[in-house]
Amino acid sequence: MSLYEKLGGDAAVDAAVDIFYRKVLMDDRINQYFDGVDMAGQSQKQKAFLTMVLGGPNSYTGKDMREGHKHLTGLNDTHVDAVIELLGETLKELGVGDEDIGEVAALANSVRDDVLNR
Amino acid sequence: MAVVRYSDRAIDVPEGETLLSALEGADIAVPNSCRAWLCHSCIMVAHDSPIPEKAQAGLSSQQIAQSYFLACQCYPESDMEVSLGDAERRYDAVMTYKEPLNQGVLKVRFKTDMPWFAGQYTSVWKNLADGRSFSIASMPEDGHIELHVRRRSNGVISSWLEHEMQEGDSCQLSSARGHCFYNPGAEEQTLVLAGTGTGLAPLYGVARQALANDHRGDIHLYSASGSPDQLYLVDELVDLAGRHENFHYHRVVKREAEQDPQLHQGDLVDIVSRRHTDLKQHRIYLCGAPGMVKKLQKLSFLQGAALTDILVDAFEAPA
Repeated sequence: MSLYEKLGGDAAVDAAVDIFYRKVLMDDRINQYFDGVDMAGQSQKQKAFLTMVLGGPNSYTGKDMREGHKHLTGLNDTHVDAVIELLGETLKELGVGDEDIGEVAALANSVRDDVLNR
Repeated sequence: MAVVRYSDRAIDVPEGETLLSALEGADIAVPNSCRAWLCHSCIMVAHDSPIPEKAQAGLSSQQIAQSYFLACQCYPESDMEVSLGDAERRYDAVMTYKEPLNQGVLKVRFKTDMPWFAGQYTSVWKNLADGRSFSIASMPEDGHIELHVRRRSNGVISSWLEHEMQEGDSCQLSSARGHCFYNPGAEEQTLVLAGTGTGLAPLYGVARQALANDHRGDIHLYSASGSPDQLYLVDELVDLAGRHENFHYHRVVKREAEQDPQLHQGDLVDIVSRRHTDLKQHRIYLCGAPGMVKKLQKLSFLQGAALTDILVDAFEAPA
């Protein structure tokens, strides 16, 4: 059973997106990249991302990640680290154990090179 | 086997096949990408037809209320009639009433067969090419579409509506769109409605619809303008607040608030975010100036409202 199913599927991901996105907007390390972004569209993308890292049904292609972040100047490893940290905090709040969080973090980490376009 | 009507075609959909693949098999192009309900590219609308539950999983309550579904997840169980969600349709309408509400706003009413929810928007067409969008202030129960038009001396549509169109004249309206409408099912929820200028129109519709549906939670409506004389529907809203204990009407102006102790002076964003610091379980409707809408959308979310409970309609000023 995937963590996606364990957490409760689609509705659980909606709840996770709310917690995660709020953390992102309040984090001064990365929130400048989210200024003025369309919030509904952004949350849809975050939902796709969270669904993917939780092992839910997805059609993840590195191409979308690459295209979606290419225009962001100055993006580097510290920003990706911050996002993975906030993802871990989000899952902790939802009652996910450390071992599962480690697996999710590893999956999130696997898109690092796509996000940083290298 | 179900038969699905699309435009003037009738397509057989065998059991176990998705509507998306059946339409593609019939050479009907439907935008699509992931085929796994995530991207929402293949969103369609059903017309007076039963929709399989699975085809609406992951959609918002606003989309479900408008009979949207995902073609890639739709295994038709019985006959359906469907169309692409963004297909625009125009309806004939007759102007039945018009009246200036103050020096800046004109109220117009139309009779039409078009379905709508109070708070959605429609375009009014002077001819095939010239049209403008306006939000709908009336409920279907009212029997007419009511729009609040900002009066502009050089506005192609607004001056045509004010000076040329007469009661009894016909024109066309586009199918109603948008997510800013009242959705029954959470009658205890507190509603916060905030709008600048004619952003009041959809909010007035949403508030009246909520009250007509016996909404029990508090409803706070904020109507903002530059000076007190630019506010409109004041008497109607004061009257509504007098008749419903849970309806609260707040007037916000940038200047001259000293005229009336009922007025709040300041910036709408500051006032709303200061007065409603904990927005958990609240539903927020924001309409009007894009700057205000974006700022309050973000603040509302940071102050605890769920993203799906923040419904926005930014009025881009016509060029």
